[in-house]
Amino acid sequence: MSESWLSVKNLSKHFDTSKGPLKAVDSVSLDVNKGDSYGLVGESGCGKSTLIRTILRLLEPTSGEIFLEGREIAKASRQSIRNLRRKMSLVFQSPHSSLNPRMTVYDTLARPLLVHGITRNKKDTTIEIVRLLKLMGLQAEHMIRYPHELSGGQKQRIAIARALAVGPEIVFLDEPTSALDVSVQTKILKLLDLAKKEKQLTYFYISHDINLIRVVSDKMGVMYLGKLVEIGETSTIMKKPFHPYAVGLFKAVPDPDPDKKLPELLLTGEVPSPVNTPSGCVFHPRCPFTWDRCRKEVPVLLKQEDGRGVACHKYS
Amino acid sequence: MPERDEALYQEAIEDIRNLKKQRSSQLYLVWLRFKKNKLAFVGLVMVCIVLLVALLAPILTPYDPYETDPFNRLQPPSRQNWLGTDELGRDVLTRLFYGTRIALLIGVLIVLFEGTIGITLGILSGFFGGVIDNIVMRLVDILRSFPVIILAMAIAGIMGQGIFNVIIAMGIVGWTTYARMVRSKILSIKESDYVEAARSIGESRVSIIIRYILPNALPTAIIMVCIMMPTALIASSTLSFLGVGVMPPTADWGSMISAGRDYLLNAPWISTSAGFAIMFAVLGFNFIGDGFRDALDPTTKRS
Repeated sequence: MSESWLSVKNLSKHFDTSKGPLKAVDSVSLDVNKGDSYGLVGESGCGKSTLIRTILRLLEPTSGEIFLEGREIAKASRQSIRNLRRKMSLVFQSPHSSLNPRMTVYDTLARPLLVHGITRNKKDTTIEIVRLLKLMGLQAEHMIRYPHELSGGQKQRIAIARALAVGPEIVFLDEPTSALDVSVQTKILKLLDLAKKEKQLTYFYISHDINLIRVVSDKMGVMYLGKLVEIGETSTIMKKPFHPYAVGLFKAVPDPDPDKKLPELLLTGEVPSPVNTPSGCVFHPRCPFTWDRCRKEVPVLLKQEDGRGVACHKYS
Repeated sequence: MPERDEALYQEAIEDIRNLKKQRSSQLYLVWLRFKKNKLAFVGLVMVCIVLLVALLAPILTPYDPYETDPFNRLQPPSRQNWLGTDELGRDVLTRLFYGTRIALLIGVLIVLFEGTIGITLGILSGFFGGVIDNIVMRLVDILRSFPVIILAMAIAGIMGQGIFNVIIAMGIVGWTTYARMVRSKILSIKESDYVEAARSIGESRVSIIIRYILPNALPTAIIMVCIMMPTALIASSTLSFLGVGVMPPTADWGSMISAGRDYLLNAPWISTSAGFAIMFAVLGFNFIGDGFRDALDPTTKRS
């Protein structure tokens, strides 16, 4: 079927609302290779978080297929989902809300180990937790602390340690640094990189921060209103984005040079409501190159000469 | 590398032992926060006085609260009767002391009764939602559409006077407040990131309820009980005052106010001292409730 390690095919997640279906994720296809860092970028509300939660089966997919190591998991039973939880884990955006305030760090980290029977007695559990804490640059003494006794950066490291505790193969990182101080962000990214090398992990970052995706990912995707508009090697896309939305999004990042003027805004108007999506290409009301075809026909991701995929009639 | 593991383990155990020496338990931290709150501390002292009076009533006073003395009716406060005597010549202070017992008994029983029903139904309806939630919440809506006291009066009227009928009458209405609060708390916990995180590591539903939802809903329940205690005291006094609560000969604050009402001009000490007793107890419990609310919230750091 597919040679990629994690392969998502035409995955959709629609929510029922009183005004009709909300297309949070609409027919998304992407492939992730083992050992890669995949970066998904898009504005808030574009469906990035829904997409990874659907892949993780925390949300039921509306339609489409997900393959992990060639095995279909979109329709997996409850028992096999339990096994999936050992292979895929998730780090949340805000460490302030993702840790149970009534659990010590010890319990927070012991739960995944005990749920999956990774360690069987208290001593083994403690040793494993100390290892996880050390990997995240924390001390054994942090074990008996409660989340509110830790700083934001420490909490996020605990949250990452929890995600690593199950011994996953892929870790989904939902804006892992955006709730943290800038000085702490680099530290977290370095620790993540270290853990990736030591445990041979695959990372799937999602973020609205283009610079973060530029730094951490090998391959990337740009998402707009529930759809992937451009995918490919990060270096290729960053050098010269093709899709008009990607062009506008990348241009909107301010240059750190104070002598330069703020970038001209290419993206005008507001993101349309995902309940009432525009006909044809979802980007056409905001696109500077719109012509008739864009209003009528939905563009598909087409492979370009340099290997990237673009969903735009301009490149078909 | 078992030796390295062993070393890691020993090191960790040592670290934790050292830290535990300097650290105080969670309960102690709650107590520290509670103590810092001056009003809460005052409330605690007030409630302790009420409790002591209830326990030591026979020691504190030489009189019997039920022994009438027709020759000493409506005596003003004096050295023998600090708060005077009532219309049957009974010592008001003594009846006040014994009334503390009734007030506390009714208050605690009402809170226990309505709290048990309300918290259980709130948890069920918040966690399972759907049909259960609909039934419970519509029942709450119906019960809350009546004025509480009127409904309790009707129930007490049907079942007759007496302590236990007051408790049942108040409980049938009172549980709705708990159910609503607990339900909304559970709904917000259910949507929280840490519950989603628990699902993402493969926790079962039962484990999520026991380890994640209930411990986080518990403070709300405790605070509710503390805050509802004064409400229960006032409500039971109101019922007695209206004559549908505790039976007259019993020393009860509400019926004391009611009985003293007829002599308000020539013997004002009967009603006012009973009213003051109610105010004292209610204020004490209110201060404690507020203090608990602040102290039990782990997000408010010691500052």
